[in-house]
Amino acid sequence: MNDVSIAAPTQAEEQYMVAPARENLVIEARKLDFFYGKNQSLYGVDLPVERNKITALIGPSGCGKSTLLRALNRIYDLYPGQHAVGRIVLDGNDMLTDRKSLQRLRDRNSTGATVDEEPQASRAGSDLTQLRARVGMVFQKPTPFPMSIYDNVAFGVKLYHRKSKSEMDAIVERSLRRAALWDEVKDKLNKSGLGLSGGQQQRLCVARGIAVEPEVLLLDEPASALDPISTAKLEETLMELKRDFTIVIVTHNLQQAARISDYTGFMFLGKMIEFGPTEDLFSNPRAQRTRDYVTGRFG
Amino acid sequence: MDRALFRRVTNGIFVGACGLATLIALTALVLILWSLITKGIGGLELKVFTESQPAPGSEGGLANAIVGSILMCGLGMVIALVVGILAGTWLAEYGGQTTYGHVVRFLNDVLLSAPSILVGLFVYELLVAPFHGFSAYAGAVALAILATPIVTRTTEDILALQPNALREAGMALGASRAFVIRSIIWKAARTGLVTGGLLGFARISGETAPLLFTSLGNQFMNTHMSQPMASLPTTIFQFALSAYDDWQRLAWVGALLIAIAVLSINIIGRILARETHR
Ligand SMILES: Nc1ncnc2c1ncn2[C@@H]1O[C@H](COP(=O)(O)OP(=O)(O)OP(=O)(O)O)[C@@H](O)[C@H]1O
Ligand SMILES: [Mg+2]
Repeated sequence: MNDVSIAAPTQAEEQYMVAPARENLVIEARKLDFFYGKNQSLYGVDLPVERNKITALIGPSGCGKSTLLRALNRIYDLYPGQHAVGRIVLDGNDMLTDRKSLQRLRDRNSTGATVDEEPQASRAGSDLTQLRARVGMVFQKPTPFPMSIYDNVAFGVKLYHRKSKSEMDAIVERSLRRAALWDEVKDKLNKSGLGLSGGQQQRLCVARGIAVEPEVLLLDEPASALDPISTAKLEETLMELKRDFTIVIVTHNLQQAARISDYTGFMFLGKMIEFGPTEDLFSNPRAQRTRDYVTGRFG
Repeated sequence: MDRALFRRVTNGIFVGACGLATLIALTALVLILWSLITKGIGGLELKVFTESQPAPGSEGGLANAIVGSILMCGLGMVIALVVGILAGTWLAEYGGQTTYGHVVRFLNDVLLSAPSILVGLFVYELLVAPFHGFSAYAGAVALAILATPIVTRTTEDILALQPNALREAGMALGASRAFVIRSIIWKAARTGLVTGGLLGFARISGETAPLLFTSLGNQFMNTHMSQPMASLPTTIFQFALSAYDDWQRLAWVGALLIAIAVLSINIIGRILARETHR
């Protein structure tokens, strides 16, 4: 960790990428730069995410994993000072196509700093709520809404569909079952979600996220506040969910990444140093940085 | 060992000082309540609520003042809650960091400490003089102007306390900013919003000066908001300064009623806020 400050971010790094076949991708970041105001924290990051697979992001603290996730569903739009330059492609549609983003991409291309494709306008990118309906996110800290467990799960669904009571009941039950929470809460669905334990709250947030049936589920260290049993339950859940969803998960737990993910990306100082099938990356890392990290010689 | 002892002693002194200060404040409060109760409870009869202002020396009650206070405080609070919650929400969630936002916040803080008599004069110039008549509407507006900054301020403060993670979680599900605020943030902040309303109500329930300039007072029962209307504070003011014993007794009763109203609305508000929070 202490050599973080030594390596200048612009310095060339060895980078290796073994990407899944393009036709299997569901969402993809291409040459993505990200800025918190003037501070850049992602540098030309590529992240190809294959459908119905689990993709793990690992790397030392502060390397930009959360930033990358937050860029994928553009949750950063909430903050006026933050912006991304590059492309986020969801099912072939560019999602960074509002006027400002396109302008920034053109500016970047014209300076020639990074070779890039021409920006192309598409209407898909302007509809953020649509993007977020398709790319859901569960945050590191559980964030139950101040309402009943039932309403927490139904919240997102109600945004898009008018459902009858019985349909909604079914959706709530199925989502809670999938998140491995049903048995614990089925008798107190009308109690506040705030009354659950931390681990239960986190699974409630997972249930809330999958209730809207997103294509991609982004998880930022979902197990960091969980005990080993809840963690195991959550991992089991993720393996199950993989059949219906595509999952991108940030984790500090290398064993967890190795256990559940199909692809792993190793990030360092805002760059994607190495990306490839999980087995390869852990057993045969190519970049020196990756090797140091997965063998525990680092951070 | 020495240091531990020193720490214990300073700690003891500090806790003692805090306790003493609390005791002083509580004593004052208890004394006020005590004098209110002893002097007011004797006159607290049914006819206080059923009969209007008596002529000096005859029997009567405070019905006209009670009704007037309820109407004007009620309308004033409705205006203050709507304007204050919306303004506070705008400051906390949208424009608070813009220049306009800073100006609004500054002016709100100025209003927060504006002498109520000035507010009364302002509304007099605005709504009484041009229409050539005192009215309960003017009174309600004056009260609203006094309560709004309090509601605005508490709303902004309490919304700013809500974690961004909650907003992000709502938006991550595809809800719009406005919907997240209405359905999640306001709910999470409910106790604080209720507190803001209660503080505003507590401020205006006893205000006399602004009402003297606007609703004036009325010795008869009146429910027409466009005419002068009695209220508890102005009636108390008038009765307390009078030379008649029974008017003075009624003034004490009125003061006790205001205290009871503020107290019980506070308690009810707290219970409601807690219930829905569960
Ligand atoms: N709101 C912010 N404003 C400014 N800079 C930020 C902000 N959030 C993150 N950063 C910076 O961006 C970089 C990447 O942060 P990020 O949170 O993405 O790291 P991370 O890989 O998720 O770390 P961790 O494992 O600790 O969660 C860091 O250098 C951080 O200081
Ligand atoms: Mg993070």
